[in-house]
Amino acid sequence: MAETLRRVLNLGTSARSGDEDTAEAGPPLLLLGGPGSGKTALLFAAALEAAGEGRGPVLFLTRRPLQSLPPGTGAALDPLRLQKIRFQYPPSIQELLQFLCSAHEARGPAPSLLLLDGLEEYLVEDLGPQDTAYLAALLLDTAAHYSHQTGPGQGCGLIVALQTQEEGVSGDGLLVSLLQRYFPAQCWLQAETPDPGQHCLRACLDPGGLGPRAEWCVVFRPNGEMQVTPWPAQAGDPSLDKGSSSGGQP
Amino acid sequence: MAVASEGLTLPAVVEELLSEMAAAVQENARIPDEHLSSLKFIFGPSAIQALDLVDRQSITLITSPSGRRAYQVLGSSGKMYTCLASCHYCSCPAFAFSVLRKSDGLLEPRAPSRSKTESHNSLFQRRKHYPPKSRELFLQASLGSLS
Repeated sequence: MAETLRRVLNLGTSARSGDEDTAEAGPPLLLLGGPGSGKTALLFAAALEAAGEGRGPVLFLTRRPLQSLPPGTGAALDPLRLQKIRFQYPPSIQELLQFLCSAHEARGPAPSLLLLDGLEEYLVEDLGPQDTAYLAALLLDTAAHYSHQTGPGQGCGLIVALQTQEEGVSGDGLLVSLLQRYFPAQCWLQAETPDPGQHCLRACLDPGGLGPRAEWCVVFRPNGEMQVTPWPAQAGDPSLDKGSSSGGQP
Repeated sequence: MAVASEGLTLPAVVEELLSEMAAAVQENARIPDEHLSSLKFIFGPSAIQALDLVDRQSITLITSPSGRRAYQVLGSSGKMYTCLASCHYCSCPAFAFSVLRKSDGLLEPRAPSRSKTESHNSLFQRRKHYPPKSRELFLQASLGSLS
């Protein structure tokens, strides 16, 4: 699923190449970042990107409804794309599990992308490792069922966002290592400040063995608009960028 | 061929063995002894215990009308466990103990061998790095041997 996110992160640059448009669902991706690191904005951008691919709808699961649509998604925010994003707000882990367990009973076209924002909001209710693993496994199983419905070559992707604590908190490490068992691909959002006075995040995408890591600088402007540029070290190296963009393709 | 160029890995070997077993079952409705020996060689004692569950007809594949699948495993204690078909998960305590907790990276002594109820799950422990398909193939092949 790293490809969808890679496309989102490459939107602001000219690094988009033709062969990126093949809609192949990669391994499930875990999006990690601290509070306010732009996880929801990135997830929503991924939803819009997938909604524009002319495939099935996008299923967006979150406990709390989005307060506002992230600004700056610009031309992508067309009503036809928005219509294809279906929001579900399971209020508790029981409801979420119920939804995932009965996903095969839903009618209509199978989603092309399954997104879960705020996984941590479902994990606060005194869950043990096995329950956490069950939720992760069930998410994978649901996406696998959607893939089975959509047919070969057009699998359903899965991206799950998890809010991590401040760095150095060991409790997170166990949870993340447990989740990594189920999510081979990861994207980390970390606060960096290359320029004083500018809030910049470093997005590091590890596609899970399907290619090299890639990094971007994500800046949120005062109006909330998200601006993505390749991380400076990579900016002057088009070959690296090219290699990473085609790395996920067979 | 891609496998050969990357060097033969254990998961690839298992994948091939299970495919051969599935083919053999489709042809003759039974698994040849050499395949069972290979299973034993790869998985150790877990293979016998897993096959024992099959012999007891303790594994049920449940398929929804829309094609979603899950396995139900009846432990010898009479408890029912659920295994997801598409990824590694079992609801039994041994999975939590041997597989999940082991991945915590804590230095724990290896669990002593437990009752047969839980022993089938050590299969998943040994196979945790294998592609999800392996297990399904194994279960399918095993289930096929019943017919």
